[in-house]
Amino acid sequence: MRFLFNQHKEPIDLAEVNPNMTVLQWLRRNKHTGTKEGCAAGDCGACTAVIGELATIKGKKVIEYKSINTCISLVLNLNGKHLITVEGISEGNRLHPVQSAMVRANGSQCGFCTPGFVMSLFALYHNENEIDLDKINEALSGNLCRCTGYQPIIDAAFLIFETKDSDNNDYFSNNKSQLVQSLVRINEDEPEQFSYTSNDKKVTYDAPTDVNVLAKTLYKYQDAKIVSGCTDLGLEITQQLQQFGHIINVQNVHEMKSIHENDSLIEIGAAVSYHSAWTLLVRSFPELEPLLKRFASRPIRNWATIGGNIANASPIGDMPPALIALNATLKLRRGDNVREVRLQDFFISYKKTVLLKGEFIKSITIPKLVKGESFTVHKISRRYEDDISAVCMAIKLVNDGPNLKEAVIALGGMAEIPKRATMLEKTVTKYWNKRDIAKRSYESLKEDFCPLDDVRASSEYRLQVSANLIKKTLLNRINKKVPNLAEPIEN
Amino acid sequence: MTKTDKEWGTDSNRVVGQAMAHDSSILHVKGSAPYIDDIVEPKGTMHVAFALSDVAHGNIKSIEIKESLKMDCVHSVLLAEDIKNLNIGAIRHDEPLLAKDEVLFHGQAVAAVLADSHENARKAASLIRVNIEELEPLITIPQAKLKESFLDEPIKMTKGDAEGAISKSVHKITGKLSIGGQEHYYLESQAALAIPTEGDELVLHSSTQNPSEVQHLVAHVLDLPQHSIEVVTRRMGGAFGGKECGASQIACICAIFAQKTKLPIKSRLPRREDMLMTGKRHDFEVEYKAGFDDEGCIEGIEMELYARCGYSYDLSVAIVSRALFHADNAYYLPNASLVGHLCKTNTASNTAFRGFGGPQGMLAIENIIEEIALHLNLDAYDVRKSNFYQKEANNETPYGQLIEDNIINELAHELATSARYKERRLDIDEFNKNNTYIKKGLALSPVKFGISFTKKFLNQAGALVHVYKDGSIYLNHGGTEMGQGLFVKVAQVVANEFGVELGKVKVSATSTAKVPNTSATAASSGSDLNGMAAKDACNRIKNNLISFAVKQFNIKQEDVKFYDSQVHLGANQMPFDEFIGLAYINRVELFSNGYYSTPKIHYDSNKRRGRPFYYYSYGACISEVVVDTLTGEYKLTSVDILHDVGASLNPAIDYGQIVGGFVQGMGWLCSEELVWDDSGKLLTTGASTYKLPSIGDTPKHFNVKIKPNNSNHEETIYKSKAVGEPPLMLAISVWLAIKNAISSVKDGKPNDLVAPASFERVFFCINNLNK
Ligand SMILES: Cc1cc2nc3c(=O)[nH]c(=O)nc-3n(C[C@H](O)[C@H](O)[C@H](O)COP(=O)(O)OP(=O)(O)OC[C@H]3O[C@@H](n4cnc5c(N)ncnc54)[C@H](O)[C@@H]3O)c2cc1C
Ligand code: FES
Ligand code: FES
Repeated sequence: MRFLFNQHKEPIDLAEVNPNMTVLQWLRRNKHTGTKEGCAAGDCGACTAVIGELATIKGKKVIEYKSINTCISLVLNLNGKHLITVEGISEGNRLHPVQSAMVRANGSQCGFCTPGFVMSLFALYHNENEIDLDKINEALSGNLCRCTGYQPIIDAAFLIFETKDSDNNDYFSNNKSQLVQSLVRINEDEPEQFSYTSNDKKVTYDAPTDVNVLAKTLYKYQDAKIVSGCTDLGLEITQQLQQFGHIINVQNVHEMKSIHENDSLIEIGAAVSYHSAWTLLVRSFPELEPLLKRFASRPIRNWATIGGNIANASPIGDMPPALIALNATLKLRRGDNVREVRLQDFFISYKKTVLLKGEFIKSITIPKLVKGESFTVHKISRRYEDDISAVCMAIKLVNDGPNLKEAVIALGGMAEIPKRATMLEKTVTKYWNKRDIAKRSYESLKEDFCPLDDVRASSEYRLQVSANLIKKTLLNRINKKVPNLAEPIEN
Repeated sequence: MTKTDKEWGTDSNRVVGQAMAHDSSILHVKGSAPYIDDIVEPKGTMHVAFALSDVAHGNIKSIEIKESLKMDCVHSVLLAEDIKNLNIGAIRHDEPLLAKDEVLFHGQAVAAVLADSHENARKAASLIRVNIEELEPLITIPQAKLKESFLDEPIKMTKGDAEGAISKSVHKITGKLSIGGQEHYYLESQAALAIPTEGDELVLHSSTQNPSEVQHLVAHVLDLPQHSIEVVTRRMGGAFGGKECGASQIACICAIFAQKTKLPIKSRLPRREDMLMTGKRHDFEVEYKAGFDDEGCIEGIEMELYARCGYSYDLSVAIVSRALFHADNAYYLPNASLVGHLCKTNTASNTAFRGFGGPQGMLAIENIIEEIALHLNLDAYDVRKSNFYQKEANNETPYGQLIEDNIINELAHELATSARYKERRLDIDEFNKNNTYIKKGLALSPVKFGISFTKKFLNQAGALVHVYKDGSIYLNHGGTEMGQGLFVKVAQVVANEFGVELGKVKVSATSTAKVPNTSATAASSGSDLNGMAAKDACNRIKNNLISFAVKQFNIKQEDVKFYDSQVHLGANQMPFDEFIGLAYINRVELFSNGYYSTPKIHYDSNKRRGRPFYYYSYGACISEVVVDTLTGEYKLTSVDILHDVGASLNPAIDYGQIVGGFVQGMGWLCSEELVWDDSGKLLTTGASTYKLPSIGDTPKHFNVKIKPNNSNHEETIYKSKAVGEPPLMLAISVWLAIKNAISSVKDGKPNDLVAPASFERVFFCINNLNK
């Protein structure tokens, strides 16, 4: 197991480590305490570092820099990557441009969040050439600061790009080709499966690259735990204090990381991250963009996968309602068997799915919209950025000319699983364009669902706001625009 | 547009008043500023984790620790029965370090486990089973009221005859307002590291705003004289009041283990434990009655403020008092009856939080003003103006302090003019007329905040300044650095006194071994008190130096001046370093302590009259919001602030405090909602459910101005004013703007918006209006 670390010339070779160990634990145990723990749950960003990963763009090998919440990622997932932390970006006494901008803009007060912000800004620095407020907010959406009120940090971000052309670049730009070579080297003779067993033989970790190997391994070790982006699983380790005996990482499986598209559908590998799927998804479904923007935060989106979101089977996962409304199907594989299941039939009850032991999600297929079909998604949460939905509602309307023929409506947050609202669909189809659509929707929603009162919302709010979202959809369709306030608005 | 190269309008000849970066800014951005958990652990360090009660109220039947002791990595488990002096507390010792016999809130620590690593200690703690016979808990304020569960007598502040005045008024309103609490969510959770030195002595690194209190409590718990314990605090990763009392428990537990094992002991709370174990900002419920004239001038007002204090005494009396001290905000109340009740509940002990009760008192009166405006169909800013304190008359507070430094009228006017309040009001009225589903709201709210600890004896501070032979200066004082920039400000004072560059001055960790018996760094008083104490120390050293120069060079006292890194000696001058070297050779004392106690203040807490505050800080803020009435969602689109910091010691730091305070206040009033279930379990135990403002919540138009060419009426350090707390309350304008937008749904009809104004609450508030 080898990875590059900061500006060290030689890769780190981890001899003994518990596969359940997080990157943050590894860092801090080894006295790299610049990276902080604020929550150990992916919520605060104090632990943010950046991963450099080899990618091929137009036939050329390049390094992609992506921010990551080290508190909920596994140290073994670093294999073949470059881990960059706040201690590793300045050169001697010369601060990195993002660091000096933070100093000049008074971007730190107590300083505890600062390393995380610095690293998110470092990723931004490497990913963009020009900047605007939306990009800054996007890049820093996973970093909480309790002291500064963010404005000084936003100022710092602008400052970075004011001088980006003229600064002397950083270590990583200046040593691009060596770094690519080093990464290539540690990824050479990539086996079909990287396997690791802890010295005490108690914990095994496998990271196959071939889907057949994955299928075989999983079939053989049916109690093994699949890990993908680790943004749900990580919490089981750090919050519920779980330790897994066998972990199988699917994020290196080539076939599960690819996307296929034709005129009628998109097929997304289950291990494709939200970040990687974004462009393609949004090209076919522009209406998904506001939802994707509000899906977790940038560092989570960099690693979290759609497959993981679905397999996790949370009643408040954001993608399932959208994908159910779009009539997505899953390819499930167990051993050599592959079966297709409609997503709406995938969920059985709270956190239970049709997935069998030894079976995994290979890919998700989404049919494209055809003429007469339109699509809308709404997300209601306490905060616009990085928050779990109280209600997530996805609506596909099928029109026959000017007349509404069918409505497919799926909701999350309303029941123990994400599911379609059959009564509501009928009501909407029948009474669309009627003045009292909200009231009627409410009555139907009450038949469809009996939502919970919980920490995110009351049952009543869930029902009433959902009904109003139908009305809002209608108003927007008939051009009485009611803007989505989560989106930037003109004053 | 960036604000970094902003013209701060400062005098570049002085170190004081310059926009200087935070003393640790470079360390911060490199990740090399150590917090407690980053300190290189001494060999053999062991780690503590806590097992908590999972019910809010009950009798402990048994605690099963066997499973946990079975783990090889576990050293021992500490229970209440193992601790001789079990109780601690800031005012009363009514907080057991670990629950004994009964548990009084969900999340109360019942046992502490010592193990070889943080993770193992947590794992072991999770194996402890506490069997509790549940009793009925009192969770909410109404429950406490009903059962008459109070910590102490109500606090009453009266002026004139409120009841009589109200009965005579032409207009009257009555109402209620409920105000939520707030989790501190300092990014660095509570942490301590105890290192045994020799004999019974301990050095404790603690993330505390109050090293002296930690020292005194640890000494009490260990039955040792206070001189045996040294508490050191270099920096905190945020505190906001939450580490004034909140740091003691974990420090005491570490100390107990350290004394028992003679090993270094560390503990840091996982976020969930931190949110469960430690208290928050007090929630309040306010009942009010007000009588006023046609202009909205308040003639009489009655307010009953019920605060949820939690299970213990803590600082609640002072906090509720400060709520009463600020229930006038910037308004003259000729007849007022203000009563504060201290509700005792089965919840964590609510405690200090930036503003210390002031924000709740202020929100209460601002809500009343808004209701008056709705009632009379007047613009709320006009009603505010009619009620503002005046300079010569109408300037006595309900507690009898005459306001001598009032600038609220001109400050609000300046802001309203520059931010085009009147024009925007018309635009918004027009917009709201033309839009059914989207509504806008606008509000201007003032802040007048009293500066000083209301307990007189706390208003004292000490400092220690050493000048070394090479002219470098070592500074120590009793204040702690939690991000607020205190260290750089005091260093600026010292550099300025000696006329040297800031780089000459090294600020050092706060230590009880250097300055004893310090007050908590709180009440925004840090730079007022410690700046003055440091200045005093400098002056004493300078006096030594001047006497020496007078003798040595045969010049007059007035001819000795310190500036430009030179000591000016009449017509001659000498570099500072050289002069210091010379002074040393000539046996001049080059170090000194310094001391300060705030003058003029006094307060009779029986009569509730006096001059509790040395001076007031002022500010005003205009906020504009847009609300989606279909969903209750809203967005803060525009904020303009004008804030008074006297003559700023450091405008960059002050600006940061204003912006940061505002956003924190906005969180309190908007998205941050603490939720308990009916059985008293706190459900919001992490940032996934408890939503602090995130970066996108920063308003796009965010215009923050420090009032220029300003000073302090009183002789404070370089005529500056305190800035830590007051700006938080500027955010009240956001809440008022939301309320304003809601009321436009049904013209002029009062609405029952509560705080925090979560989207859901806004939604139902609108629904109620439409009914
Ligand atoms: C701070 C934070 C914010 C979040 N915000 C949101 C949000 O806004 N909306 C939302 O919906 N979710 C959110 N989440 C949840 C999470 O990010 C998503 O569910 C994510 O898509 C999970 O993907 P993953 O790849 O990280 O899954 P992992 O954590 O790797 O796995 C999740 C589960 O799925 C299983 N699994 C993963 N891949 C497969 C597969 N191919 N086949 C079978 N089983 C598999 C794993 O065994 C595990 O049980 C948030 C999480 C965090 C920490
Ligand atoms: S520590 Fe908070 S996100 Fe990792
Ligand atoms: S500077 Fe303190 S949390 Fe950001």
